[in-house]
Amino acid sequence: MTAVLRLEGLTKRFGALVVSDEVSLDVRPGEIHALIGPNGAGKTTLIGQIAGRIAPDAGRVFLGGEDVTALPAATRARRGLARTFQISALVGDMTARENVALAIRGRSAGRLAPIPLPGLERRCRAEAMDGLAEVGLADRADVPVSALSHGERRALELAAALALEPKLLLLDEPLAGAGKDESKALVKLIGSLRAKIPMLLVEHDMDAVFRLADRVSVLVYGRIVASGTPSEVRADPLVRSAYLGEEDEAC
Amino acid sequence: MSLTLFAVQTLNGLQFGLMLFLVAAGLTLVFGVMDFINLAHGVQYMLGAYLTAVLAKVTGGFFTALLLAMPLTLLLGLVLERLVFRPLYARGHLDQVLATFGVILIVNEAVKLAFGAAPISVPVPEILSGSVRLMDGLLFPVYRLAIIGAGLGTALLLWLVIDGTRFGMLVRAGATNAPMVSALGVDVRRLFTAVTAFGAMLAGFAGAMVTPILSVEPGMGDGVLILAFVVIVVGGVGSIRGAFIAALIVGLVDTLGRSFATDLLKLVMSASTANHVGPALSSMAIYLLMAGVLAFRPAGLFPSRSAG
Amino acid sequence: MTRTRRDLLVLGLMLGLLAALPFLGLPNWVLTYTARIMAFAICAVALDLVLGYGGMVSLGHAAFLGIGSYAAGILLAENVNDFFIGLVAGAGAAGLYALVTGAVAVRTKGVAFIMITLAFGQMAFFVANALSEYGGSDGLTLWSRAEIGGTRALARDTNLYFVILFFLALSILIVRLVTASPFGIALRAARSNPERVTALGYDVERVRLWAYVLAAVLCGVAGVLIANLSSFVSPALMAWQRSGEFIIMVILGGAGTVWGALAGAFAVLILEEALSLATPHWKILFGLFLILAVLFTRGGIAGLFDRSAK
Repeated sequence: MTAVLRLEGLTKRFGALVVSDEVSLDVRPGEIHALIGPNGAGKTTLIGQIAGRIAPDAGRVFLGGEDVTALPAATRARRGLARTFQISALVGDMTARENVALAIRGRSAGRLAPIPLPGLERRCRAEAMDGLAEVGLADRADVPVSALSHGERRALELAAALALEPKLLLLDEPLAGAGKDESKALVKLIGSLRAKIPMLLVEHDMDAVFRLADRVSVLVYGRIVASGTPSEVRADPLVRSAYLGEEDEAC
Repeated sequence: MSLTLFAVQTLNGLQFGLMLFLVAAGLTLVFGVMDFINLAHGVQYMLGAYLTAVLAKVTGGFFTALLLAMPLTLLLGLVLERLVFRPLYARGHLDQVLATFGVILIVNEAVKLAFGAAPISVPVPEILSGSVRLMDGLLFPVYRLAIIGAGLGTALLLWLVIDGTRFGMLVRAGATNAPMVSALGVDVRRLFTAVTAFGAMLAGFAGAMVTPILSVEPGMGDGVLILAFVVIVVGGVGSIRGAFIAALIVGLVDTLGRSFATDLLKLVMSASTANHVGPALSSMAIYLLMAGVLAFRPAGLFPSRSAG
Repeated sequence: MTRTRRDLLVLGLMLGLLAALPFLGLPNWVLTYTARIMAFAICAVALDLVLGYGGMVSLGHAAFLGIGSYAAGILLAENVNDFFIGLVAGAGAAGLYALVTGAVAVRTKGVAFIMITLAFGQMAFFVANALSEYGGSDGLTLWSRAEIGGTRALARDTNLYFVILFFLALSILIVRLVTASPFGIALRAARSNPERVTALGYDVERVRLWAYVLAAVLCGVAGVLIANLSSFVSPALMAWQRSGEFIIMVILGGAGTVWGALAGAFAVLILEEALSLATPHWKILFGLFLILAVLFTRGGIAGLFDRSAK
């Protein structure tokens, strides 16, 4: 079974600091692979390299078996790599539906047509409504992003990412800043997408990680120190001392 | 194209580059530390020149005028910062462009109103007049050498301040990460004010130094401002070291280009074509240089911000 | 919906008024002066695409106007008199310059973008100054206007007036179509969140570059029209202060609206004219107006006016 995403020996240095140290991991069809690690472990830099914002010094990124290491972020997105951002990144002065429609246009050939295409717009409108319904935002379609709640924005980000019909979803701390109830709803939502799309989940909320993930990898100082099922990782003494020790109350 | 001419023009280019550095140094810090686009910085250069020219006429002494003009340019910088710039830090670049553009219009016109549109000339101070023989057949004006010395001295002083003092440390930190500096409990607003006023004085000093060799006239700061922009972009926004190196490169390329482009072109094309193409090409030289640098390094030679 | 309809109504009224002007029996200078404003308005409309919709603060747009003018002027000086050849040359030269310089500029952002566009604008200015064959810094006087189909139809001010009005209306139509297109929506979205738009599969730099080029082409057309109107081209056309003036027009009129840039062009140029009648030192008043408007209106001058963009 080919992995949807495979990293091979990704290495990135900033000066003398090695932020990614030969990181290798994969995400297989149908699974949620969680990446955890203490602050400063290099998670953000790693995501940047996967998404194509940061060029690695060494190593390769494969998407569905294809080497995408040299491709820019926008091309990777069109090849099927969708992502959400740590801090909600949406187009603030557009409505929820327009944000999803932007994604749908993004994967169509007419995404940069210089004149209005009524056919495409009709399709975008309909598909955007479907996408919003899927994350429970159908009745918020015409609300501008600036008027949405934090949880709703998180859900909308998911809808926009899914509208790309991606092969893989990269979730950068989807629960950051969410309240208790919002978190619960988002965990449920992400879980419900499991069958639909494989995900790489970067998250601080251990509770959510152990509930959602099929596999967990632990990143410390830019290096993967442990990888396995949630129970294996939880039991790993190295992980307990390096990382989970600080989170005892949370577990 | 003789060797002496080449040597003279190299010195001229060095002198020009050092003046550009004085203007660009303050400006690159303002951009780097505050992310504030200040089009009115060239105005400080012009004010430095006018204050020196007018005070030289009143007091009769160039150095007295220079000494009096410096605190005045500092003061003007402070006034502008408090009245116009400070409320703009939190605004978008567009508002900053519009308001500082307004400042240029006002000051250029006010100078015209006060001192007339005609250029003012300032005599070279007595002890720095005349030329000195640098080598066989190479005479170079003492005053230009003095400018080079003053420019290098100021650059050295600036380096000592930026590299060796707490103020300099904060400025460097601010250029890389302003929120972090304010998190350290430093009053960022006072830091901003100091950087702006200090930068205004440096630009004013450059303006004052060139009064005996250039004509002092309204709008004289505009051209220098744009050249300083080229210097900053090439050097990397926020980087003093980048500004220094880029200023020297720009000064040399511009000066040497203007004197030798036509002669060099004559080697590869007919004389009359070269006479037409030369001036156009040499006026493009520094911009082509800028484009070339940016094509390979979009953030300039010495990018000071890690992100972006 | 009603908002768009209202905007269109205002726009229609303004264009209708401009079309009726030649029939009101006004003195000829009113006509040529209005034609001049209309040509500058084309630049403002074009800049609105870049600045208002694209959020790119370009301080070099006067260069494209100047390049268009010089292309037309040089052709006329060389006895190539056909208007359409001049038009294509002017628009093409401006677009090409934008493509080359823009490719460098769009890779940067913030203050660097502003400085780079200004610097490239200045480069065009200095090159024009160095064109000693074509008047150098004194400028180039053109002895006749271009010909259309071998006729001297443009020699009549009224005819040229309508040609300029036509291109103004065409520019507005083009910008409107483009902003409503997938390309335009991506451009607008990239203004507020380029990261997100990239993550959705759009090459943001390419989107910005093409908007920049399109605006330059329209400015080039305006330059050809200005050259014919005033029978004179000079480096002063592309002085960087004029680029600043274009920005003021766009912001004063309300960035990112249909008719705003047009209204802004008229407002700024008429205000300047009125102030200059009052005092030779009118720039002090104008500068003061700018600063006060920026400082004391919420969100800058643009905040004075009800507008859709941010």
